[in-house]
Amino acid sequence: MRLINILPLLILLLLGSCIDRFVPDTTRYDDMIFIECLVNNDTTTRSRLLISQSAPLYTYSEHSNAKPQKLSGAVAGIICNDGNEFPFDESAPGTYLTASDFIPEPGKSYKLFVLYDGNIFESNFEKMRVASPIDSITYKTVLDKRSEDGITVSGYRFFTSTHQDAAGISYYRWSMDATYLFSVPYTATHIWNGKETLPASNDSVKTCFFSKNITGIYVASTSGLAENRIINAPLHFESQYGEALSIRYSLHVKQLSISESAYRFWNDLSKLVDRAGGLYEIQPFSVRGNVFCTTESDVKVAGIFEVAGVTDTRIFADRPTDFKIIPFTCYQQYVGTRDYPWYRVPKGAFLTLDLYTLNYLISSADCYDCTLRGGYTTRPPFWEDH
Amino acid sequence: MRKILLAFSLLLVFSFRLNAQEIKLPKIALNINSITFGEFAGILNKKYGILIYYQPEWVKDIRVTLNGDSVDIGQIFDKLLKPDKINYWFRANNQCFITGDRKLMNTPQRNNYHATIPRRDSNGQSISKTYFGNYSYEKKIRKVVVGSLSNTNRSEKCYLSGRITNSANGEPVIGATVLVSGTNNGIISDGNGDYVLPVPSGTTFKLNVSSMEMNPGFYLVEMRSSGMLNIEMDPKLINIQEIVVKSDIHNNVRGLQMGFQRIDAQEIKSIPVVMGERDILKVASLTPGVQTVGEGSAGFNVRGSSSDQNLFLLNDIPVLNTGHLFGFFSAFNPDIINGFNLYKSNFPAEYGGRLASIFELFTRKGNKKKFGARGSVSPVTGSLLIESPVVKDKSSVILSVRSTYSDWILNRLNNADLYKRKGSFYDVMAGFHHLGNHNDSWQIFGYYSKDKFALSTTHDYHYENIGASVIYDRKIRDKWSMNFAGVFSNYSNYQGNREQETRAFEHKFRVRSEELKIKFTGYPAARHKTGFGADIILHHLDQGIIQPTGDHSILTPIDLGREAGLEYALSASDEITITDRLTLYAGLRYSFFNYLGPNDINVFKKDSPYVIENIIDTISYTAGKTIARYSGPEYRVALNWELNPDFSLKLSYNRMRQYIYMLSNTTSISPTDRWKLTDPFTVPPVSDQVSFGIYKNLNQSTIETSAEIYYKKTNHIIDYKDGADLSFNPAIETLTLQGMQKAWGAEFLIRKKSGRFTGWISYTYSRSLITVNGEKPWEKINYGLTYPASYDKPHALNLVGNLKISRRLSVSTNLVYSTGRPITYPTGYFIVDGYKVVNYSLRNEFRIPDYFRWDLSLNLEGNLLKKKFAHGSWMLSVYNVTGRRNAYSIYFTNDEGYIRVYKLSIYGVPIFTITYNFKLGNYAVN
Repeated sequence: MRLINILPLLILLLLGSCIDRFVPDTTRYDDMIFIECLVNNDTTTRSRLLISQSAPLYTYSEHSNAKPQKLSGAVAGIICNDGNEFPFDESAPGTYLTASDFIPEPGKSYKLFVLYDGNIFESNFEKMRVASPIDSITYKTVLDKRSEDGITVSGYRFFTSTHQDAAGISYYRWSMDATYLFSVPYTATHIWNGKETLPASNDSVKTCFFSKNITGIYVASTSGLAENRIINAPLHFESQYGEALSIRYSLHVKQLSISESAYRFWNDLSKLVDRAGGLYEIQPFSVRGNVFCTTESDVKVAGIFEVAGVTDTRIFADRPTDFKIIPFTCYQQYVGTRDYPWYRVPKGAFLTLDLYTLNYLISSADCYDCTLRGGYTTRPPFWEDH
Repeated sequence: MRKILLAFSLLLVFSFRLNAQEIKLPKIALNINSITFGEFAGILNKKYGILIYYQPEWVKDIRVTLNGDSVDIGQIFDKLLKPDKINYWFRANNQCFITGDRKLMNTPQRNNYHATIPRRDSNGQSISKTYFGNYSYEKKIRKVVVGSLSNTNRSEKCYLSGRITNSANGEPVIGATVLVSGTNNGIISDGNGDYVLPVPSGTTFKLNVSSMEMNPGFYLVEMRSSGMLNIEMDPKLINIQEIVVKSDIHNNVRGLQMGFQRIDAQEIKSIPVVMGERDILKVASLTPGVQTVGEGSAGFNVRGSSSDQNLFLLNDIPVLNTGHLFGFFSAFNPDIINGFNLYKSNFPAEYGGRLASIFELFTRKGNKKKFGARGSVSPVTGSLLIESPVVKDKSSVILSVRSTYSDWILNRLNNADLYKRKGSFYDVMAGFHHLGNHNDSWQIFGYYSKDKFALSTTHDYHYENIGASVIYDRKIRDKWSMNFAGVFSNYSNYQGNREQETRAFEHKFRVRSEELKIKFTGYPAARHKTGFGADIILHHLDQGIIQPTGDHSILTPIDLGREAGLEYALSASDEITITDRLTLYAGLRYSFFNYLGPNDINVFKKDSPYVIENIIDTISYTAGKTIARYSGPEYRVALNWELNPDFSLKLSYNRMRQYIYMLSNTTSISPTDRWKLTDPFTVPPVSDQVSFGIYKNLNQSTIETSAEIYYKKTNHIIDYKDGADLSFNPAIETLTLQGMQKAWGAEFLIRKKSGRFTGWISYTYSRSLITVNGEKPWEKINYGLTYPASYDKPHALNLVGNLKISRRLSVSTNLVYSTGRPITYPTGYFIVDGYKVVNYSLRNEFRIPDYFRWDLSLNLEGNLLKKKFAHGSWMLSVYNVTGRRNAYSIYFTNDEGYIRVYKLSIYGVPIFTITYNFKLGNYAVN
């Protein structure tokens, strides 16, 4: 429960609370090694180990250039409880991959070890869990109030249900990516070659696909439930802002059946994100995960070694009818005016001939060309039309 | 306005006349021979208009012979009366009193005729007589004779005792100072207005009685033997500018109390308010050593201690949840509160059960003279109080009701986001007070408060406090008083959560206690004030069952269990007046705690951390069986060395034990926080505190100053492991660890209690550090390193001022500054599965920005007519005048892939409120 939600009530009663952006007066940085090894039985990808050093927040500016620094030169591997060992090879600085034949098998236990800078980091044996089937992915229109700016946003909230036939406690994490179709608003009639206007069309770049990874932590467990079943656990919220829901939207959900220690790591992180701020915030703490330094050392480490049984599914959603889509703003203006003389028109710019005034209209390039917005026109193989 | 001016001028004229009085004794010319005194008196009356009051038996042997033209009447009287040791006194130039063997003060010019029929002492003899008087607003001296002559024994110490009441409504006057003039022999009236003062018998002395809200009283007391003097004090009707009340307020210097704050209703009235509510707890937090973690948080922190270490007693009823609306308002209706005592150190031996403070709230007992009503209307609440005598001067009833109408407002708002939210609270207090015929009194008091909230359709919170107390007080002989109380309290809390259908749950928990306590206070020997007592509390905690609710919830019910505990203690204390300047208080409280069955206790694997996986067995105990037992002494020692009447040094040492604590790992108390008894796994926390203080009064005691330093060490302090989820876990021992807390600080206070400007300025330096560093590697929090408590705010400066511009208009202001509370900031971030996640520092390494607030309020009283049916007053207040957006919290979130920092402020703008208060009667009714 996010108790910050109480605030609107108090705002009403007290007419005074507010949330502002803030710049703390500290630039303290504690370095920490972070080890991420998310392993699953998806045969299409190779298992990857990432070793990095935490990045400073410095000015807390979102445009801060500091990125976690990749740490290379580690020797690492995964040990299976059947005695097999699967070493990692460093494919890029800080990125280590197993041989492609390493696919963890349900029922077996695996352990990560990393030798870096004279220290040994390792996890406990984590048992590979059997993937549970995704029973359903659904979505519905919800109103989401953003506490930070107080804006109420409509959008689709996706939900998932799953179950495991065997009794016991299951732990899940969901990772998602989305692909959607969107189009730019203007139709070009001409193109400017630097000297004159030539008839042209932007049909080929008017509509694009766009793919994005959904970030965020989505976890659930059946601990404390009478059935080993998850019903309608909330997943990603796609808002009405932007073009994501403007034509057709597809959410790809990977469901990872994880161990308790991995769940605890993700859940702690999610608690800190959810219950930060507000009237009843919990004491924040450093989440250390399930990878430990086993040599005597001052080095600080946090890490997650997740061995998951994976299943995935995809759902499509069409443009909503019960709320508005608020796209990126585009506007056009006449060319050849004092405000916009021809010499300012970039070469290769699309133009629209206004048939009433017989003047040309111009807009920013990404309002004519969806690829400039990161879109692509090749239809993905999984795409299903309405 | 014209009427007021008239009243002013009348008073001015009147007071001028008082000052102009002088006695010029007439010269007489008479030729008389051997006439009786009676005849002489008759002649004086006829010829010179002089009235002589006398008792014939005193003068029956006197014969008067006079021969002269211009004889001073004083000389005549000297010659006539002195040989027989008969005293006389000319009150004015035409009135003379023959007073027999009673001595008089030299110039008792401003006396008062105010006939109170004093009570009779245990021997059935008249214990006082009222003599002469003059009329004055300023001073009243009444001579009283206490005890009977036959009992007089000069060498013996005897006791003057009685009850101080408000002459207007019969309410006891609490905290009035009763002082033998010119000595440091004094006492403060207790919660029932009772006092007992040891005095030498056979002496006559001047007794000063003073209290903040009352006109001081002066009595000339002739002590013959132990006896009673009940004192009625008149409320200060009008503070006339000309009169400087030089009441002998020495109690902060002379009393033993240190680390002590008393604020009475009158002062509470003059402090600016938030949302039109006079909040008792907010007032308390303006005094030194008391802090809150932030605005709108329930509870407070006293001398670097957590908020569950404060015991709130409302007429002896313990109140566990002191906040309405999540702590934005206090659960005590200020209309009925008569004042509070806050003990921060030097706890009297009879108090215990919490480590940091005892917060005693007294309610009004009801008007014993006539019917009264009052109330207020503010933007958030409305309140009404009615009081009435049942038997005039004997018994009274009082009822106060307060409620919000926020629901009503919410229902009128067509805001889609808010319409599903509901919030309401109300509280009711009712009391009956009866003065018995045997110097005893009864008080029956009941308390109920309820809060109800709904946040959209997913969350419901309800909680309620129910409490009742029966208090019986009685004087035993002259030297002893007994106080007996039976107390019941029940706090229950309900939470409904339908955020996720499949996990929807309801949870209700209850904390109930029944308590009996008895206390004796008396003066067994000269220079000793002794007390002893006992109390016993039976705690029942029903932690409740987390129950699935709704059709879709598949939650397994979680039984959080029940607990019972018996807490009992014996206490004894002696206040020894070693010399007139040195007083020692030595007290001992010995407390016991039995953790009782029925209960199931987990057994953990040996030498392993207390985690669920290590539970190897569970032992069931039957009802009433003692599962764990704790006990120990609690020392209470204090010393007051009075260097001179307005300067003293005080020293105290205290030990406290606590057997019940709150399960809370949020920064401020959350509405769902449960309580827990100490059990076989959790050792009761013990706290030792040493404090030293310097007290100095200036400017004839109108300005009090004090400086106190303290050092407090608490063992077995309870803190929570990182990420502990307290709400669903029945095995609390798997979430807690115990450590040590050290707190120290210095408190400075300058307070002006009378005059046109009143108020105080206080500065507190305080630190509070916790170390949880057990021997085993898993018994550590923050890697065993010391960390500041989340309420550790080193510097705090408060200024509270009230200026009376005119008798109807006053302005009050608060200035509040404090260091920001500690907070844990991220000191870096990493990326996990493409998501930016912050990495936090060690616990509480940073601080949120400093806090500053300025409040202002204007109080306009209705007209000051003495005879009026009802009196109204308007209070206009601005909270946070500068609109400073004080940080309540700073937090970091991942916003669309960026780590952003936000500051949450509770009151980010100036808040204007207007409150209307009304009451039956005139301005002075209180």
